Amino acid sequence: MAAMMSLCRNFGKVGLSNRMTIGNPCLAALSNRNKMFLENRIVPSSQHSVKKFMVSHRALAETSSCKSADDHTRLWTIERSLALALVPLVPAAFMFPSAAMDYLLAISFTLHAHWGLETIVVDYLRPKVVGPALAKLGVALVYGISAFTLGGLFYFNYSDVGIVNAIKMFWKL
Amino acid sequence: MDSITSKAVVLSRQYMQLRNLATVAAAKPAAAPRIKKFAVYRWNPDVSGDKPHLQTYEVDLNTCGPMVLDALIKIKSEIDPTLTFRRSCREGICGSCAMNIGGCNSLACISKIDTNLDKPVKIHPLPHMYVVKDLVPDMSNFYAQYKSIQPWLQRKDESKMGQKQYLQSVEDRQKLDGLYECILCACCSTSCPSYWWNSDKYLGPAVLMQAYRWMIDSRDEATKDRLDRLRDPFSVFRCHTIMNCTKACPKGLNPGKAIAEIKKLLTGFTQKEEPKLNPVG
Repeated sequence: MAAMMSLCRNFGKVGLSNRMTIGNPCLAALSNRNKMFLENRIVPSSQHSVKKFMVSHRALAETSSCKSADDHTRLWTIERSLALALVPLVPAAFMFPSAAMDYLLAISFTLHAHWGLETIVVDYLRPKVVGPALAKLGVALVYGISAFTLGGLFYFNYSDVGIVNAIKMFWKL
Repeated sequence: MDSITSKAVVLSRQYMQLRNLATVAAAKPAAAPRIKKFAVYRWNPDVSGDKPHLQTYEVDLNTCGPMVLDALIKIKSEIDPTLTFRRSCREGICGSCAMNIGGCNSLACISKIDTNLDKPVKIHPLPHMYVVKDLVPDMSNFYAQYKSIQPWLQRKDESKMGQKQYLQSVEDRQKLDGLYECILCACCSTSCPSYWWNSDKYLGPAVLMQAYRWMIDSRDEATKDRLDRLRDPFSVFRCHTIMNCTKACPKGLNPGKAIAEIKKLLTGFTQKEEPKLNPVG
């Protein structure tokens, strides 16, 4: 298809310039001058030229700072479902406080925050701007923070009063 | 008889006086110039070391059309012929004069000049685009992205193409309303923070809305391929539903909704409906 497009484009160019210049030296001179003008002025010099844009899994996999470069649809569905599930889950945890609810809250909060933070890091620490090393470090840091948070919440649930009770006690103050 | 004539003469004199007064009264406010300041982004690549700066022009609104484009054309023809901007149709259908006016992306030809004379109108090129000169942005990347979604009708069997019209029911045609009107002015894409940060990989609202327009066309059979090309984390999923696109659109379209519909198709929440009328039937 791309070949056909470029063929059509080239044909268009040839067709147009032929039609314009046949038997008319004045027009031919004009079109030559236009061409020179275009080459000198309008067509951006190398510093303005923009890289050709490609949408392919391979190209994206090469440039992407995310690991799952191919299919994002499943992860997106899980992210949205979790966000939706948190709406009834949070009040449910307060209505029926239990250890299981505390652990469920810990996991879902951490995942929710992790995906949010990862999005921010991918958006703002771009390899093009900060270099590939720092971009990877940023994502790694998010994983580190999330793991630490999850560990901390689990430890708190295990050895202390649990998330729900802690918030209730904080509220009583 | 005499008295009547003299009365008539007096009356007509009074009338003339009144009329003169009225003319003076009407002419007076028109004579007072309404000077509005226009602060326009200027940058000339041909002048070495030139840095982008705002240049202020003063335009009398009494002698200028109502739209921002009128003022720009007036500045170019009467004050500063070096001012560079794109324009063509002057009626909001070509999308050439898309620029950032007073902080909002819009078409200069359908944006009214704010008649509050205290504040200058600030005009910049479309945000976060490479600038060719003054208000002219480099649209190469935007057009390349548009090309990448293959914005044309695709059939599995194109051997008989061009011999007969493809049929489409009225309801199927109505699905394209609110999508086909896009003039690709790039006001929406360049108002999107996600597009600012990731325009090399994220397609942006304008292009995605056109991708959706071809996906749901009842005559198009390449829907699966079209969707499969967008499954990666960047092409579509960098949309964080900020909705600047819908707010910016000078044609009143809703690219944000179109992207949401693409996400639904991608994740299988919705399916493309079967055509109500067999296109080759």
